[in-house]
Amino acid sequence: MKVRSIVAMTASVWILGPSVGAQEPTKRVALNVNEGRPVAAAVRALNEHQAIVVTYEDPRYEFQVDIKDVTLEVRNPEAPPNPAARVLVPRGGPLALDFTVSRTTNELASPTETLQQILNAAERNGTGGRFEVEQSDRAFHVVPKAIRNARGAWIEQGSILDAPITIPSGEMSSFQMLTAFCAAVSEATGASVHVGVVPLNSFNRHGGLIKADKERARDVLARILESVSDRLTWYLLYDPGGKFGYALNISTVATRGGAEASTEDHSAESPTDAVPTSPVVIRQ
Amino acid sequence: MNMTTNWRIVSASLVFSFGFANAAAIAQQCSHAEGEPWVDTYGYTWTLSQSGSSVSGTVAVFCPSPWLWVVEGDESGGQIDVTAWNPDWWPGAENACNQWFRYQGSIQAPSCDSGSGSWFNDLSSSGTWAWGKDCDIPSTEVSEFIEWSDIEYQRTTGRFKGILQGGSGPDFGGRRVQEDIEPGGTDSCWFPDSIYPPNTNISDPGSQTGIGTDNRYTGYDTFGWMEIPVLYYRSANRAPCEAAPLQQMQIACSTGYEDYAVNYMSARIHLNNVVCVEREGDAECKTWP
Repeated sequence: MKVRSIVAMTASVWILGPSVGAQEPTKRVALNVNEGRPVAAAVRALNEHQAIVVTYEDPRYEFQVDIKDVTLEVRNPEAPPNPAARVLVPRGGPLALDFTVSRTTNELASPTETLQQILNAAERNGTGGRFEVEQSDRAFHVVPKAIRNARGAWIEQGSILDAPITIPSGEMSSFQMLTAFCAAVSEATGASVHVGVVPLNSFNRHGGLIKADKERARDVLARILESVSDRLTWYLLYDPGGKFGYALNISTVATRGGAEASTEDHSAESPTDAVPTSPVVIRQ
Repeated sequence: MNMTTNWRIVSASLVFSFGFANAAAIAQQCSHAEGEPWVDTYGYTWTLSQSGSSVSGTVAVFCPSPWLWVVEGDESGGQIDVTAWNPDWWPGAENACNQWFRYQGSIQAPSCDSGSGSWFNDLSSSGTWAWGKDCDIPSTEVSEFIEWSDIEYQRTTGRFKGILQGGSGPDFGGRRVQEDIEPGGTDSCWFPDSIYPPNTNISDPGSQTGIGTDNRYTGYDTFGWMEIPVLYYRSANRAPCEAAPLQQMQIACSTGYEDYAVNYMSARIHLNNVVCVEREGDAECKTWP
């Protein structure tokens, strides 16, 4: 998989000895990211390298310092002039930390501590949003907690996925569940949410019965994804320009040991021992 | 301000179930017995050809030295029933092998390179058998644009089918294929901090479909930008631009999934409200919206 150069997750030059009380030797690994959504980038690095599922949700930035106008930077020279176009992105910045992994398996010694380290590092930057982590049965959810308002003061801003939503009972494809989910969240919160980039083939082929009755949006979304695969996560990214609202992007995460989740055992039986007689014999 | 991270434990409640029209609906019956030779439990080598459901060929048995017997029978829906005839048998022959033996059983999908069943012969002996062979792998795949998706938010994506060709297996019906990531893709629509990730890789590694008796996918490979991302990148003055991931196709064998083709994929957002999709040379464009 191609990893953008701005996301570097490499073993550091120093190795620590065995952790106190731990069975396994550990080492320190450095994580360095520098982009508009540094927490999302760190989460993505974990999802791509660790056998855990971490979801991410953007805050809705309001403070001018937390937003960057990249209209001219991103314009394709071949595109006709469009004075109305304005492209805003989160300003973000660097985020660097190191954390502990198993020396033999490279698995995180403590996913919860690592995620907290990431959020603490982001908070120390003093810009962008602040986040918290919620843990469910099979995933960690990085959700917004606070932003700076238009005057630069920190104010609370929760997750739109905490909203209770209702989806009338019905059979549909998993993709249609996602669109129904986005419509329900949009209706419940007033924020515009749409389906972004998703594994289309899987979501078109899977389906079933969905029903949600004033249920928390995050739980409903987790169920939709789990019905397709246990290797999926989401990145709910917000357009600071406001025009496109939230994009719900879904992607696969790393698998433990690199093994594909699948399938059946197709190995041939070998009944030789149980079958002493062959079909061809010499008649005496 | 020091804001401590809160850790909340959430228990999931399951109030609905899934169970229709998923990937398990893929056809799972091997449609052919020919291709690579089979080697069975007894070391016999079966070289078979098939026309319709009729199977013919030879099997090299030990009688006591290697000897070719004539095979005839049929195969349908993964069920095989073949009889091997001793060409040198005659009534009353002494120190000769028996006249015939019959294998009945099944070939196991989706790899179609192993099978098992029971046998009996003209001497009223019986037993079980198992056979396997080198996995039949296509040498290439051609793509066929079928239609634009009619699903809301996907109407800028195209539905394709692949057609397996060549290799050691003339018929791949009943097999299963899947897509995987092949490095080297590009996405010129994406820009840093876009609300969408770059589409440099296929988004669905491990997604599977079956192969029908015409060697075509039983399901669609849906590919392209979805509607709102098209609007987003047009709004950001990125068009004309293109996402061009590579798609590694793999076919099920009893040893795992084996690579057989790499498909070039392209989803283009053009000026003048035109979008195009392409899969390994078969391209289609339309005006949208």
